[in-house]
Amino acid sequence: MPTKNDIDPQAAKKAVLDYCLKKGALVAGVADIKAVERIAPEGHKPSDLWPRAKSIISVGVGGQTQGAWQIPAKALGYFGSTEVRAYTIAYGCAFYIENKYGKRALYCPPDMDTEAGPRVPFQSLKLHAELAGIGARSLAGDILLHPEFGYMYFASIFTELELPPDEPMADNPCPTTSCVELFRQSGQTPCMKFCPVQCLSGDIDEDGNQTEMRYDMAACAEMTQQFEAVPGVLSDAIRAEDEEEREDLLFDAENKILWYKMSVGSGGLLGQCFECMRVCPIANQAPQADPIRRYETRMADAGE
Amino acid sequence: MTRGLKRSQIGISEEMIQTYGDAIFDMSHNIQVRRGDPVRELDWEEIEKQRPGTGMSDAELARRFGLTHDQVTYIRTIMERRRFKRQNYHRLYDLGGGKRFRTERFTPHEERFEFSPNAVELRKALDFDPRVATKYLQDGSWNGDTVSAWLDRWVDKTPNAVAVCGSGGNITYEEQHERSLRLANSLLALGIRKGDVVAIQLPNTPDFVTSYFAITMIGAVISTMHMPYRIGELEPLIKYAKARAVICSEASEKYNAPEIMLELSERIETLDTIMVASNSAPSETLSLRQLISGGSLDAIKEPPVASDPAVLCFTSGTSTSPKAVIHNYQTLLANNRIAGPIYNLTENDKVLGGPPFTHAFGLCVINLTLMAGASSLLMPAFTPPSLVQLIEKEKPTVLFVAPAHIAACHKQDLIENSDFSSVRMATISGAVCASEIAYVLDDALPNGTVGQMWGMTECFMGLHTPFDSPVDIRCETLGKTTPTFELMDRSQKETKRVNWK
Repeated sequence: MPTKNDIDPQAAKKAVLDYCLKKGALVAGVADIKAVERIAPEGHKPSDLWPRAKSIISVGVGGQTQGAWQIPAKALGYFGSTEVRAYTIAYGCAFYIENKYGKRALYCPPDMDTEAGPRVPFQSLKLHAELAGIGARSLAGDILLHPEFGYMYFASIFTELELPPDEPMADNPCPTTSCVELFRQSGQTPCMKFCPVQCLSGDIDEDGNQTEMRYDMAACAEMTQQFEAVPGVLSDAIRAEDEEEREDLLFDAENKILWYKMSVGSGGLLGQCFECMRVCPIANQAPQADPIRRYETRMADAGE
Repeated sequence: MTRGLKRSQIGISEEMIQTYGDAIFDMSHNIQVRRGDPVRELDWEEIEKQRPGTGMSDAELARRFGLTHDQVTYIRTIMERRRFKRQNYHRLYDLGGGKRFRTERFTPHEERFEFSPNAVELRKALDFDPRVATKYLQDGSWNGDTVSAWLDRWVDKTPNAVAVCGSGGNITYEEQHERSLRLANSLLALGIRKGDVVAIQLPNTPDFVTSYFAITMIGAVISTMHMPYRIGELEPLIKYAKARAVICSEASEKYNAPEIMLELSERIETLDTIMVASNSAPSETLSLRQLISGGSLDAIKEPPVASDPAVLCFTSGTSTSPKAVIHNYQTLLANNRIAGPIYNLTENDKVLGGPPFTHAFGLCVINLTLMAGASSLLMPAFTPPSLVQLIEKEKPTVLFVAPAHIAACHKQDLIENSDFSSVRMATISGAVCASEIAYVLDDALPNGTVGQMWGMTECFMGLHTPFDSPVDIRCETLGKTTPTFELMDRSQKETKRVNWK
């Protein structure tokens, strides 16, 4: 792969980020890889995946339509996630960098570390995005939110191309005024109040800023990640006292659906819950969270 | 196993899991606490300080706890398996589409309704030939009708129409529904649930009707006990039915029902609630009227469906020992609906049911009347003069009587001199009827005709004589089968279908 000489980092950064935006990313930025290296836990630093990486590009894509947010939770669970669109952009971006600059790049695998089990990713895409300045941690279990685009899905690109990093966001949009008001009244923000497993709690100071975010990830995962379900069903079926109980365990509709979920792809289908984001005034009500409003903004910009 | 290694290779014991498990679980990603916004603010000191709270990696925990990386991964994942509940996904089922989770509204699965073992056993007794069941389900003979659904229909359509009438005055459909709903909620408050059997020994009174509708509203199973029965007859029946509760009349000079029922509750393990149809109840019993007036009007959360057991009745004696027959709403109501056109009842009819409601014939009349939205004229106790007087005074349009009713009236020469002009249709059933008795009644109906019906406890309305058929057919035969019925000629060992047309 021939390396291009005399690469202007600023120009390269603009070209790479423009590529991502053109391909459908709502936001894109460059995370400070040194900061990521310092913050990420041992075993999950960029150097643990690819020591030669010099830059991390993070891209965010939008979530579902307003209509999708209205449907039953069990249906939203199947298609609420839109991360595949971000992965596609990241995959293209990695080729774009290699082709244009002759620097190796990779679409950072969003998957779980096979040695650590199903809840430990190779890398934290959230950390990349936060340091790239395209999202800030919310009271909803640290899900990143953007003041303009709301709730997004992220993907990362690692590259040997050196790009000047962005800064994290100056302000955190979470909590909003209405969330603070509800918190003052009830001790809970909407995301805390309507969580089906009550896995969220926290505190807000007098100025309306987060002072503490508590996330019982285990409780959330019990519901949203059914990784223990299939082996658990099989284990119980083996120990079933009679054929009737065994039949229920293996062929009950809720248990059979596990096999369906696995057969169509485990990506986001082994269980998803969007209830905290459904009630978040930023997640799907931010000025450009709605795809139609984004379209109108683009049209207005084009007309200027 | 972790990375394919066995416990013995990793150096893990169950004791180690117990010792380190909770700390590893809590300090890994499973519990996360963040104060302030240190990453966004690049507050390095705070980032390091909060690292234990924000979820440490297995490698970090290993170093902190003096374990190997593999040991931590093993213990963490095994703890996740042991701690995580599989059933939490259920919490999503009722959410979305405008419905949000509310802690106070959520009932965990383990706290949700469960049929009692006795109720499950009762359901097993509903054992049908799959071929027959499939046929009835596919042709619509069995559908989703329930007694409550029929009652609701008329409450919506004709709330002010008279549902029940008699010496106690008129009760509209709306009033009847309210009374029954109140009692239904009182029954629930007493712990009586769907599938539980409630025995009842009451005459044909408004209390019986209210109780019947209330019991069926909550999906409990009504088991009727004939009025002449005393402790010797009641005990085996209530015991066999595994009744949770019994509703009886107040004490009279001849029969102290509450005392008998209390004695039975001592002998019968399942029987723990005695309700007495009076304004005040004896000690250790409950007043049915107070339960009716004091019950709430909350909607019933777990109403029955048509396949649920509805009635457990006992045959009155084709042999020395009664036989228990369990019906769901499909077998209870199907023939009412299918044979309905033969009787052609309308909302304008006033139906006098002569047979006791504790008899399957009596229940059949209640249901047929309810199906049509007609009025039930109650006759609490039969004597020949009382029957004739009730007909002359209240002027029912439809009669359902047993041969014994007419025979007794005829014996006292009451039929011939009575005014039965209001009656357009009289059905004799419940026992074999001598043809001369049928002719006597037919002759007494200047504006009506007599017909016969047969087949009660086991099948509810099996044979009928069409009211437009010749008098000899109506008075001397049992007619033809209910449409959809099949007759089995056992001597021939073949099924012979009788075509209704």
